[in-house]
Amino acid sequence: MPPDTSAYYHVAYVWVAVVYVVYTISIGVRAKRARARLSAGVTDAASR
Amino acid sequence: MTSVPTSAAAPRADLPPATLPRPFGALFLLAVLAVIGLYIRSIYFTPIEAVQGAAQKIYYIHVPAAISAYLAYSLVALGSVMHLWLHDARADRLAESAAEVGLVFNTVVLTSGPLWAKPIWNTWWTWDARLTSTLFLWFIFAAYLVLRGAIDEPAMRARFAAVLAILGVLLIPFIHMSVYLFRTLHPMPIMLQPSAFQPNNPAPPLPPVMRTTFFLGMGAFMLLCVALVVARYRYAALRDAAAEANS
Repeated sequence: MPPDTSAYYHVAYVWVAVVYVVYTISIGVRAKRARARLSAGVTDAASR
Repeated sequence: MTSVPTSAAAPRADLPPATLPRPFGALFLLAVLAVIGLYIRSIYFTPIEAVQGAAQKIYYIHVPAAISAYLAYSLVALGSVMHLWLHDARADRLAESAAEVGLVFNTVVLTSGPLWAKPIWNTWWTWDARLTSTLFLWFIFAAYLVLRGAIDEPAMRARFAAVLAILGVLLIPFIHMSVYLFRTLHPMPIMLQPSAFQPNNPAPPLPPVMRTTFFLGMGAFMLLCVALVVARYRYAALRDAAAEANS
């Protein structure tokens, strides 16, 4: 009978998924802000 | 001093916002599906190892994350060398993007490892050569990103960061060889050795069902690594274009 070490495995799998999801969201949020700055810059440049 | 054009390969600022490139594309979707497939196969279709129990399944994410971190850091070195040689902002942007992604994968290695070590070694951490040098690698690339944030002048930032990255990547062969060079608690590679691939090996290191899960993990994590580098690069290109448009 294998030892019951499933708690560590569950925590590891959830933790790794959380790390990648949070990092993906951080790229998405930063890209969204950059797109907003870029379009604002374009608007400013067009109005000058 | 060599000037670095920040707008190299950046999106054109005169494009309407709807046509600006988005960071995530089909490659990222494919990578996410591959990782979901890995999770399903590992959790539901891969047997529990007899000696270690379910904690052994951390192997299918821990080792692929480590190899993917090496891949990302190798891209940092490639981008850094290309930048020092060609003074191209795109190479510097690749290095910056891969460094951040490599640090994320390195973080996964350094946190999933202790979760595996505790039930097997009865300790979260030990200062052996493999673990300590991997932690040092994390510090070097954390310092790389801090250095980039501390220097405003683009050419100087790119050059200093490139030198630090190239020196940092030299640690990777040492990390890989550390389990052979020193007496460590960390085990030697199971699959990443020539005997693992001998077709008539009477004692294969992993049964076929576990081996397939391992290789699926390698493919899924390396695909995710490349997809995240591409996404991070696209964000950096947008950021540089925005900085130029607002200057």
